[in-house]
Amino acid sequence: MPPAQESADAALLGAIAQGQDAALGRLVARHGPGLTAVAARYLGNPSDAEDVVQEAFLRVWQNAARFDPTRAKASTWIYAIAIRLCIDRLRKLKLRRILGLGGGPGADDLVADPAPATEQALAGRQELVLTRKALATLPDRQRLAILLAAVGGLDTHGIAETLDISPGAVEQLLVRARRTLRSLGLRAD
Amino acid sequence: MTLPHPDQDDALDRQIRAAAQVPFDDIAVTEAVLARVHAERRAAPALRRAGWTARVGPAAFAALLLATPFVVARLPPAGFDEDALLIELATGDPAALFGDANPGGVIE
Repeated sequence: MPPAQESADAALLGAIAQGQDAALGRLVARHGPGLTAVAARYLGNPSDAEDVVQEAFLRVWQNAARFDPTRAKASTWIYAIAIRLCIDRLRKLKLRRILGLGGGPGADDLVADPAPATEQALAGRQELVLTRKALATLPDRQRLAILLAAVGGLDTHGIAETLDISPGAVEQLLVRARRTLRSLGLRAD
Repeated sequence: MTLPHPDQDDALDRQIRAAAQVPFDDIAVTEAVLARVHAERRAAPALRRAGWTARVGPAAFAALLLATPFVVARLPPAGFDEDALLIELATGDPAALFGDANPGGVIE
């Protein structure tokens, strides 16, 4: 994320720490779409993603005063909060699935958009479904790493901080994820 | 500076981004979060009352409430520095300790 955007995020966190509602609105508008997209593809359904993102922004509000720009980028800090919640949620979803209580990751939303009107749109839609299915086959950590890179726009160090692993481990996850996605037919040009 | 990932593949990343997009209503999310924030603020005085009741016991809390309603009305969260509270009770000058603005500190 460009430095100007990072400093704008840090300023918004400062304003949130002072209780300014409007600053939260701006931060949600900036990061909400990306967080929701990452969470939806990681958890496998948009409704759980919405819950997690709402909870993440509540925690951002509650903890904004603790954000230290000398220790982390604002975007990394926000993503780290959301990703911890995602990991907890996925664990619970899997447990529910094991116990036969329904739910579980990857259960829905592969076909969630309105019907395409043209052949071109149909082709695009097939590609979208293929990509979603391919992402769903990745191991959890590979899926999260590639989503944080491609959707969240985090660099290797940002992903490493978010997942609390080394940059080298992040690179391995990304290489394996991309290799798997290509092997499943996603384009590699 | 943001460095490219190893094996970075912009076309693949674009494809992933497109597949990951989901509808997002930033206004609805903001309103939902702020509603929870404000609900917690309203609940805070009751939580303080519950916290202090649990800490000193209901009888002691009731006695304190009757003896010094103004002070109790401005109790800080349970777990706050008790010495400061005792000083306040001894001096009878709560404003000196907590200041005039003590948002959420009033027991409703």
